[in-house]
Amino acid sequence: MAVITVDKLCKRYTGGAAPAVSDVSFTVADREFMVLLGPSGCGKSTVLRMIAGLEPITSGTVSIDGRIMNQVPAKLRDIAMVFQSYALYPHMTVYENLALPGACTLRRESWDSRSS
Amino acid sequence: MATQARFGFEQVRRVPLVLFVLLYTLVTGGPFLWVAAMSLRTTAEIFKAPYGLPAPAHWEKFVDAWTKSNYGTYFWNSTFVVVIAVALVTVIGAMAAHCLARYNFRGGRLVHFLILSGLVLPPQLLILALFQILLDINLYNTLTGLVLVYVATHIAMTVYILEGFFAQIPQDLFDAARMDGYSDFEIFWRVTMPIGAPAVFTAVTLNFIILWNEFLFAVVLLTDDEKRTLPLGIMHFTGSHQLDVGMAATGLMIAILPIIVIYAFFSETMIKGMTAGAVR
Ligand SMILES: Nc1ncnc2c1ncn2[C@@H]1O[C@H](COP(=O)(O)OP(=O)(O)O)[C@@H](O)[C@H]1O
Ligand SMILES: [Mg+2]
Repeated sequence: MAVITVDKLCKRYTGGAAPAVSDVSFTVADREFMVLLGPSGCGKSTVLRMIAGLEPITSGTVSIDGRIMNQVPAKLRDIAMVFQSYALYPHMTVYENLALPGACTLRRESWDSRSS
Repeated sequence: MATQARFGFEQVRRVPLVLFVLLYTLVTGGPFLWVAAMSLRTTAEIFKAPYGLPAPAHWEKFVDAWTKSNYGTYFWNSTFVVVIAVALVTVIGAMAAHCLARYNFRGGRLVHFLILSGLVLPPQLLILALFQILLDINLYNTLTGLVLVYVATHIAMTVYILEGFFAQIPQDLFDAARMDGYSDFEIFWRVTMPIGAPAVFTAVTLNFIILWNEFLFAVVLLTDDEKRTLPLGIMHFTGSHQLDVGMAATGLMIAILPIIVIYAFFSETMIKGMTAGAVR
Protein backbone atom coordinates (compact mmCIF):
# COMPACT_ATOMS: atom_id res chain seq x y z
CA MET A 1 0.00 0.00 0.00
CA ALA A 2 1.01 3.62 -0.11
CA VAL A 3 0.43 7.18 1.06
CA ILE A 4 -1.44 9.52 -1.26
CA THR A 5 -0.92 13.25 -0.79
CA VAL A 6 -2.97 15.82 -2.66
CA ASP A 7 -1.70 19.38 -2.34
CA LYS A 8 -3.53 22.57 -3.43
CA LEU A 9 -5.09 20.69 -6.32
CA CYS A 10 -6.95 22.82 -8.88
CA LYS A 11 -8.78 21.92 -12.06
CA ARG A 12 -10.28 24.21 -14.64
CA TYR A 13 -11.82 22.47 -17.64
CA THR A 14 -11.22 24.22 -20.94
CA GLY A 15 -14.29 26.31 -21.58
CA GLY A 16 -15.50 25.90 -18.00
CA ALA A 17 -16.51 29.18 -16.35
CA ALA A 18 -15.68 28.34 -12.72
CA PRO A 19 -12.96 25.92 -11.63
CA ALA A 20 -14.31 22.39 -11.11
CA VAL A 21 -11.86 21.81 -8.23
CA SER A 22 -10.04 24.56 -6.37
CA ASP A 23 -7.35 24.27 -3.71
CA VAL A 24 -8.03 20.75 -2.45
CA SER A 25 -5.46 19.32 -0.02
CA PHE A 26 -5.58 16.06 1.92
CA THR A 27 -3.48 13.03 2.81
CA VAL A 28 -4.60 9.42 2.74
CA ALA A 29 -2.43 7.33 5.05
CA ASP A 30 -1.35 3.76 4.34
CA ARG A 31 -4.31 1.40 4.87
CA GLU A 32 -6.61 4.34 5.60
CA PHE A 33 -10.16 4.12 4.24
CA MET A 34 -11.10 7.56 2.98
CA VAL A 35 -14.52 8.76 1.84
CA LEU A 36 -15.13 11.93 -0.18
CA LEU A 37 -18.66 13.26 0.34
CA GLY A 38 -20.36 16.14 -1.37
CA PRO A 39 -23.30 17.24 -3.48
CA SER A 40 -23.44 16.29 -7.11
CA GLY A 41 -21.15 18.39 -9.27
CA CYS A 42 -18.84 19.51 -6.45
CA GLY A 43 -15.81 17.90 -8.03
CA LYS A 44 -15.41 14.47 -6.38
CA SER A 45 -15.02 12.60 -9.66
CA THR A 46 -12.66 15.23 -11.00
CA VAL A 47 -10.36 14.84 -7.96
CA LEU A 48 -10.34 11.06 -8.36
CA ARG A 49 -9.67 11.33 -12.09
CA MET A 50 -6.71 13.61 -11.44
CA ILE A 51 -5.31 11.18 -8.86
CA ALA A 52 -5.74 8.33 -11.35
CA GLY A 53 -4.10 10.31 -14.14
CA LEU A 54 -7.12 10.46 -16.43
CA GLU A 55 -7.40 14.24 -16.27
CA PRO A 56 -4.53 16.74 -16.59
CA ILE A 57 -3.93 18.79 -13.42
CA THR A 58 -4.29 22.57 -13.75
CA SER A 59 -2.22 23.33 -10.64
CA GLY A 60 -1.17 21.69 -7.38
CA THR A 61 0.34 18.24 -6.98
CA VAL A 62 -0.67 14.62 -6.53
CA SER A 63 2.00 12.44 -4.88
CA ILE A 64 2.10 8.76 -4.10
CA ASP A 65 4.67 7.74 -1.48
CA GLY A 66 6.26 11.18 -1.76
CA ARG A 67 6.77 10.98 -5.51
CA ILE A 68 4.99 13.68 -7.50
CA MET A 69 2.76 11.97 -10.06
CA ASN A 70 1.52 14.95 -12.12
CA GLN A 71 3.38 13.92 -15.27
CA VAL A 72 3.16 10.13 -14.80
CA PRO A 73 0.71 8.47 -17.23
CA ALA A 74 -2.27 6.63 -15.73
CA LYS A 75 -1.01 3.16 -16.60
CA LEU A 76 2.24 3.67 -14.64
CA ARG A 77 0.57 4.88 -11.42
CA ASP A 78 -0.52 1.39 -10.35
CA ILE A 79 -3.96 2.57 -9.31
CA ALA A 80 -7.25 0.69 -9.54
CA MET A 81 -10.52 2.52 -10.04
CA VAL A 82 -14.17 1.52 -10.14
CA PHE A 83 -16.16 3.65 -12.52
CA GLN A 84 -19.70 4.93 -12.21
CA SER A 85 -20.79 2.67 -15.07
CA TYR A 86 -19.40 -0.84 -15.02
CA ALA A 87 -16.82 -0.33 -17.77
CA LEU A 88 -16.44 -4.02 -18.59
CA TYR A 89 -15.19 -4.82 -22.09
CA PRO A 90 -18.23 -6.50 -23.66
CA HIS A 91 -16.22 -8.31 -26.34
CA MET A 92 -13.90 -10.01 -23.86
CA THR A 93 -14.45 -12.95 -21.52
CA VAL A 94 -14.56 -12.47 -17.74
CA TYR A 95 -11.03 -13.84 -17.57
CA GLU A 96 -9.77 -11.43 -20.21
CA ASN A 97 -11.48 -8.51 -18.48
CA LEU A 98 -9.76 -9.32 -15.20
CA ALA A 99 -6.40 -10.23 -16.70
CA LEU A 100 -5.99 -7.17 -18.92
CA PRO A 101 -4.17 -4.81 -16.49
CA GLY A 102 -1.78 -7.59 -15.46
CA ALA A 103 -1.18 -8.55 -19.07
CA CYS A 104 -0.35 -4.95 -19.96
CA THR A 105 2.05 -4.65 -17.02
CA LEU A 106 3.80 -7.90 -17.93
CA ARG A 107 4.18 -6.78 -21.51
CA ARG A 108 5.58 -3.42 -20.39
CA GLU A 109 8.09 -5.07 -18.06
CA SER A 110 9.30 -7.49 -20.73
CA TRP A 111 9.77 -4.51 -23.06
CA ASP A 112 11.73 -2.64 -20.39
CA SER A 113 13.99 -5.59 -19.67
CA ARG A 114 14.62 -6.12 -23.36
CA SER A 115 15.51 -2.49 -24.07
CA SER A 116 17.80 -2.11 -21.04
CA MET B 1 -68.20 -9.85 -30.80
CA ALA B 2 -66.18 -6.75 -30.00
CA THR B 3 -62.85 -8.50 -30.57
CA GLN B 4 -64.10 -9.92 -33.84
CA ALA B 5 -65.11 -6.49 -35.08
CA ARG B 6 -61.72 -5.09 -34.12
CA PHE B 7 -59.96 -7.97 -35.80
CA GLY B 8 -61.85 -7.22 -38.99
CA PHE B 9 -60.94 -3.56 -38.76
CA GLU B 10 -57.28 -4.40 -38.23
CA GLN B 11 -57.32 -6.48 -41.39
CA VAL B 12 -58.96 -3.76 -43.43
CA ARG B 13 -56.42 -1.30 -42.12
CA ARG B 14 -53.65 -3.56 -43.38
CA VAL B 15 -54.92 -3.79 -46.96
CA PRO B 16 -53.26 -0.58 -48.18
CA LEU B 17 -50.00 -1.60 -46.54
CA VAL B 18 -50.02 -5.06 -48.10
CA LEU B 19 -50.93 -3.55 -51.48
CA PHE B 20 -48.07 -1.11 -51.18
CA VAL B 21 -45.57 -3.82 -50.25
CA LEU B 22 -46.77 -6.00 -53.13
CA LEU B 23 -46.45 -3.13 -55.58
CA TYR B 24 -43.01 -2.25 -54.24
CA THR B 25 -41.83 -5.84 -54.53
CA LEU B 26 -43.12 -5.98 -58.09
CA VAL B 27 -41.38 -2.72 -59.03
CA THR B 28 -38.04 -3.72 -57.51
CA GLY B 29 -38.10 -7.47 -57.98
CA GLY B 30 -39.67 -7.49 -61.46
CA PRO B 31 -36.77 -5.95 -63.37
CA PHE B 32 -34.37 -8.18 -61.45
CA LEU B 33 -36.21 -11.37 -62.45
CA TRP B 34 -36.48 -10.06 -66.00
CA VAL B 35 -32.70 -9.53 -66.22
CA ALA B 36 -32.14 -12.92 -64.59
CA ALA B 37 -34.32 -14.54 -67.29
CA MET B 38 -32.59 -12.61 -70.09
CA SER B 39 -29.16 -13.57 -68.82
CA LEU B 40 -29.97 -17.16 -69.78
CA ARG B 41 -31.37 -16.34 -73.24
CA THR B 42 -29.66 -15.37 -76.48
CA THR B 43 -30.12 -11.92 -77.96
CA ALA B 44 -32.09 -13.41 -80.88
CA GLU B 45 -34.51 -15.11 -78.48
CA ILE B 46 -34.90 -11.90 -76.50
CA PHE B 47 -35.77 -9.84 -79.59
CA LYS B 48 -38.34 -12.43 -80.63
CA ALA B 49 -40.07 -12.52 -77.22
CA PRO B 50 -38.72 -9.95 -74.72
CA TYR B 51 -40.62 -11.33 -71.73
CA GLY B 52 -40.19 -15.02 -72.48
CA LEU B 53 -38.98 -17.60 -70.00
CA PRO B 54 -35.41 -18.94 -70.20
CA ALA B 55 -36.28 -22.27 -71.82
CA PRO B 56 -33.97 -23.75 -72.87
CA ALA B 57 -31.58 -22.10 -70.40
CA HIS B 58 -28.28 -21.11 -71.99
CA TRP B 59 -25.99 -21.50 -68.96
CA GLU B 60 -23.02 -21.50 -71.31
CA LYS B 61 -23.54 -17.75 -71.75
CA PHE B 62 -21.92 -17.22 -68.36
CA VAL B 63 -18.86 -19.14 -69.53
CA ASP B 64 -18.81 -17.14 -72.79
CA ALA B 65 -19.14 -13.87 -70.92
CA TRP B 66 -16.28 -14.79 -68.65
CA THR B 67 -13.90 -16.08 -71.30
CA LYS B 68 -14.85 -14.44 -74.63
CA SER B 69 -16.38 -11.13 -73.59
CA ASN B 70 -13.70 -9.99 -71.14
CA TYR B 71 -16.04 -10.04 -68.14
CA GLY B 72 -13.38 -11.98 -66.24
CA THR B 73 -11.01 -9.01 -66.56
CA TYR B 74 -13.74 -6.52 -65.61
CA PHE B 75 -14.70 -8.63 -62.62
CA TRP B 76 -11.15 -8.81 -61.26
CA ASN B 77 -10.60 -5.10 -61.93
CA SER B 78 -13.74 -4.32 -59.94
CA THR B 79 -12.72 -6.69 -57.17
CA PHE B 80 -9.23 -5.19 -56.96
CA VAL B 81 -10.44 -1.60 -56.89
CA VAL B 82 -13.38 -2.12 -54.54
CA VAL B 83 -11.69 -4.41 -52.01
CA ILE B 84 -8.67 -2.14 -51.62
CA ALA B 85 -10.75 1.04 -51.58
CA VAL B 86 -13.17 -0.35 -48.99
CA ALA B 87 -10.33 -1.61 -46.79
CA LEU B 88 -8.58 1.77 -46.90
CA VAL B 89 -11.71 3.85 -46.44
CA THR B 90 -12.78 1.71 -43.49
CA VAL B 91 -9.47 1.86 -41.64
CA ILE B 92 -8.82 5.56 -42.30
CA GLY B 93 -12.45 6.51 -41.70
CA ALA B 94 -12.59 4.54 -38.45
CA MET B 95 -9.42 6.20 -37.17
CA ALA B 96 -10.80 9.63 -38.00
CA ALA B 97 -14.18 8.82 -36.46
CA HIS B 98 -12.52 7.51 -33.28
CA CYS B 99 -10.45 10.67 -32.86
CA LEU B 100 -13.38 12.97 -33.58
CA ALA B 101 -15.62 11.07 -31.16
CA ARG B 102 -13.07 10.65 -28.33
CA TYR B 103 -10.60 13.51 -28.25
CA ASN B 104 -11.08 17.21 -27.73
CA PHE B 105 -8.34 18.82 -29.74
CA ARG B 106 -7.79 22.26 -31.19
CA GLY B 107 -9.46 22.57 -34.57
CA GLY B 108 -11.47 19.39 -34.00
CA ARG B 109 -14.71 21.10 -34.89
CA LEU B 110 -13.20 22.47 -38.09
CA VAL B 111 -11.82 19.08 -39.14
CA HIS B 112 -15.19 17.54 -38.41
CA PHE B 113 -16.96 20.15 -40.51
CA LEU B 114 -14.50 19.82 -43.41
CA ILE B 115 -14.78 16.02 -43.54
CA LEU B 116 -18.56 15.94 -43.31
CA SER B 117 -18.96 18.72 -45.87
CA GLY B 118 -17.85 16.05 -48.35
CA LEU B 119 -21.32 14.55 -47.85
CA VAL B 120 -23.06 17.39 -49.64
CA LEU B 121 -20.70 17.68 -52.62
CA PRO B 122 -22.26 16.27 -55.79
CA PRO B 123 -19.68 13.97 -57.47
CA GLN B 124 -20.15 15.71 -60.83
CA LEU B 125 -18.59 18.81 -59.27
CA LEU B 126 -15.31 16.99 -58.64
CA ILE B 127 -14.88 15.32 -62.01
CA LEU B 128 -12.91 18.03 -63.83
CA ALA B 129 -10.59 18.71 -60.90
CA LEU B 130 -9.98 15.00 -60.32
CA PHE B 131 -9.25 14.46 -64.00
CA GLN B 132 -6.64 17.23 -63.97
CA ILE B 133 -5.06 16.14 -60.68
CA LEU B 134 -4.78 12.51 -61.75
CA LEU B 135 -3.20 13.59 -65.04
CA ASP B 136 -0.66 15.70 -63.14
CA ILE B 137 0.38 12.87 -60.83
CA ASN B 138 0.40 10.27 -63.63
CA LEU B 139 -2.48 8.27 -62.18
CA TYR B 140 -5.03 9.00 -64.89
CA ASN B 141 -6.29 5.79 -66.50
CA THR B 142 -4.92 3.61 -63.68
CA LEU B 143 -6.75 1.46 -61.16
CA THR B 144 -4.60 2.95 -58.38
CA GLY B 145 -5.90 6.40 -59.27
CA LEU B 146 -9.48 5.15 -59.16
CA VAL B 147 -8.86 3.56 -55.75
CA LEU B 148 -7.59 6.90 -54.39
CA VAL B 149 -10.60 8.74 -55.80
CA TYR B 150 -12.99 6.21 -54.24
CA VAL B 151 -11.32 6.48 -50.85
CA ALA B 152 -11.40 10.27 -50.94
CA THR B 153 -15.02 10.54 -52.04
CA HIS B 154 -16.38 7.98 -49.57
CA ILE B 155 -14.49 8.96 -46.44
CA ALA B 156 -17.19 11.48 -45.47
CA MET B 157 -20.05 8.97 -45.34
CA THR B 158 -17.83 6.44 -43.55
CA VAL B 159 -16.82 8.92 -40.85
CA TYR B 160 -20.43 10.03 -40.50
CA ILE B 161 -21.71 6.48 -39.89
CA LEU B 162 -18.87 5.44 -37.59
CA GLU B 163 -18.59 8.59 -35.52
CA GLY B 164 -22.24 8.49 -34.51
CA PHE B 165 -21.82 4.96 -33.24
CA PHE B 166 -18.39 5.42 -31.64
CA ALA B 167 -19.58 8.46 -29.71
CA GLN B 168 -22.20 6.32 -27.97
CA ILE B 169 -19.62 3.98 -26.41
CA PRO B 170 -19.40 5.00 -22.72
CA GLN B 171 -16.35 7.13 -21.86
CA ASP B 172 -15.75 5.05 -18.70
CA LEU B 173 -14.72 2.15 -20.90
CA PHE B 174 -11.94 4.23 -22.45
CA ASP B 175 -10.79 5.54 -19.08
CA ALA B 176 -10.64 1.98 -17.77
CA ALA B 177 -8.62 0.93 -20.82
CA ARG B 178 -6.20 3.80 -20.25
CA MET B 179 -5.66 2.80 -16.61
CA ASP B 180 -5.31 -0.85 -17.57
CA GLY B 181 -2.40 0.14 -19.76
CA TYR B 182 -3.65 0.27 -23.33
CA SER B 183 -1.93 2.80 -25.57
CA ASP B 184 -4.00 5.24 -27.62
CA PHE B 185 -3.73 3.05 -30.69
CA GLU B 186 -4.67 -0.08 -28.72
CA ILE B 187 -7.71 1.72 -27.34
CA PHE B 188 -8.77 2.34 -30.94
CA TRP B 189 -7.94 -1.13 -32.19
CA ARG B 190 -8.92 -3.28 -29.19
CA VAL B 191 -11.82 -1.30 -27.69
CA THR B 192 -13.44 0.99 -30.27
CA MET B 193 -13.20 -1.37 -33.24
CA PRO B 194 -14.61 -4.56 -31.61
CA ILE B 195 -17.39 -2.71 -29.80
CA GLY B 196 -18.17 -0.65 -32.89
CA ALA B 197 -18.22 -3.75 -35.12
CA PRO B 198 -21.90 -3.42 -36.14
CA ALA B 199 -21.25 0.10 -37.42
CA VAL B 200 -18.05 -1.00 -39.12
CA PHE B 201 -19.94 -3.79 -40.92
CA THR B 202 -22.55 -1.26 -42.00
CA ALA B 203 -19.90 1.02 -43.43
CA VAL B 204 -18.13 -1.85 -45.20
CA THR B 205 -21.33 -3.19 -46.76
CA LEU B 206 -22.67 0.19 -47.86
CA ASN B 207 -19.33 1.25 -49.32
CA PHE B 208 -18.91 -2.07 -51.07
CA ILE B 209 -22.34 -1.91 -52.72
CA ILE B 210 -21.98 1.73 -53.74
CA LEU B 211 -18.44 1.36 -55.11
CA TRP B 212 -19.19 -1.92 -56.88
CA ASN B 213 -21.84 -0.07 -58.89
CA GLU B 214 -19.89 3.16 -59.29
CA PHE B 215 -20.00 4.43 -62.86
CA LEU B 216 -19.33 8.14 -63.16
CA PHE B 217 -15.75 8.33 -61.86
CA ALA B 218 -14.80 5.06 -63.56
CA VAL B 219 -16.08 6.12 -66.98
CA VAL B 220 -14.24 9.44 -66.85
CA LEU B 221 -11.00 8.27 -65.25
CA LEU B 222 -10.41 4.97 -67.12
CA THR B 223 -10.00 4.58 -70.87
CA ASP B 224 -8.25 1.26 -71.60
CA ASP B 225 -10.49 -1.74 -72.14
CA GLU B 226 -8.31 -3.98 -69.92
CA LYS B 227 -8.75 -1.52 -67.05
CA ARG B 228 -12.55 -1.27 -67.17
CA THR B 229 -14.59 -2.12 -64.09
CA LEU B 230 -17.81 -4.16 -64.36
CA PRO B 231 -20.31 -1.28 -64.76
CA LEU B 232 -18.25 0.05 -67.71
CA GLY B 233 -17.87 -3.40 -69.21
CA ILE B 234 -21.63 -3.89 -69.21
CA MET B 235 -22.25 -0.53 -70.79
CA HIS B 236 -19.88 -1.49 -73.59
CA PHE B 237 -22.38 -4.11 -74.79
CA THR B 238 -25.18 -1.64 -75.24
CA GLY B 239 -22.99 1.14 -76.59
CA SER B 240 -22.61 2.59 -80.05
CA HIS B 241 -20.58 -0.37 -81.35
CA GLN B 242 -23.03 -3.16 -80.69
CA LEU B 243 -26.34 -3.95 -79.08
CA ASP B 244 -25.96 -7.34 -77.46
CA VAL B 245 -28.77 -7.22 -74.91
CA GLY B 246 -28.38 -10.86 -73.99
CA MET B 247 -24.70 -10.51 -73.16
CA ALA B 248 -25.33 -7.29 -71.23
CA ALA B 249 -27.90 -9.15 -69.13
CA THR B 250 -25.43 -11.95 -68.42
CA GLY B 251 -22.87 -9.34 -67.41
CA LEU B 252 -25.41 -7.66 -65.14
CA MET B 253 -26.06 -10.95 -63.36
CA ILE B 254 -22.33 -11.51 -62.88
CA ALA B 255 -22.11 -8.02 -61.39
CA ILE B 256 -25.18 -8.41 -59.17
CA LEU B 257 -24.35 -11.80 -57.64
CA PRO B 258 -21.55 -10.66 -55.29
CA ILE B 259 -23.81 -7.89 -53.98
CA ILE B 260 -26.57 -10.38 -53.22
CA VAL B 261 -24.13 -12.66 -51.42
CA ILE B 262 -22.73 -9.81 -49.34
CA TYR B 263 -26.16 -8.47 -48.54
CA ALA B 264 -27.40 -11.91 -47.51
CA PHE B 265 -24.49 -12.24 -45.09
CA PHE B 266 -24.44 -8.77 -43.62
CA SER B 267 -27.95 -7.34 -43.91
CA GLU B 268 -28.90 -8.11 -40.32
CA THR B 269 -25.76 -6.62 -38.79
CA MET B 270 -26.08 -3.75 -41.17
CA ILE B 271 -29.63 -2.85 -40.17
CA LYS B 272 -28.60 -3.13 -36.53
CA GLY B 273 -25.76 -0.73 -37.18
CA MET B 274 -27.90 1.74 -39.07
CA THR B 275 -30.68 1.91 -36.50
CA ALA B 276 -28.19 2.01 -33.62
CA GLY B 277 -26.63 5.07 -35.18
CA ALA B 278 -30.00 6.66 -35.69
CA VAL B 279 -31.48 6.48 -32.17
CA ARG B 280 -28.81 8.57 -30.54
N1 LIG C 1 -15.26 16.95 -19.04
C1 LIG C 1 -15.73 18.06 -18.44
N2 LIG C 1 -15.71 19.24 -19.10
C2 LIG C 1 -16.17 20.36 -18.50
N3 LIG C 1 -16.69 20.41 -17.27
C3 LIG C 1 -16.73 19.28 -16.55
C4 LIG C 1 -16.26 18.03 -17.09
N4 LIG C 1 -16.43 17.06 -16.17
C5 LIG C 1 -16.98 17.67 -15.09
N5 LIG C 1 -17.17 18.99 -15.31
C6 LIG C 1 -17.70 19.98 -14.34
O1 LIG C 1 -16.89 19.96 -13.21
C7 LIG C 1 -17.68 20.02 -12.03
C8 LIG C 1 -17.35 18.84 -11.12
O2 LIG C 1 -17.79 17.63 -11.75
P1 LIG C 1 -17.59 16.20 -11.07
O3 LIG C 1 -16.19 16.09 -10.62
O4 LIG C 1 -18.07 15.20 -12.05
O5 LIG C 1 -18.59 16.28 -9.85
P2 LIG C 1 -19.06 15.11 -8.87
O6 LIG C 1 -18.38 13.84 -9.26
O7 LIG C 1 -18.68 15.58 -7.51
O8 LIG C 1 -20.54 15.03 -9.02
C9 LIG C 1 -19.14 20.03 -12.46
O9 LIG C 1 -19.59 21.36 -12.42
C10 LIG C 1 -19.09 19.56 -13.89
O10 LIG C 1 -20.08 20.20 -14.66
MG1 LIG D 1 -19.17 12.04 -9.97
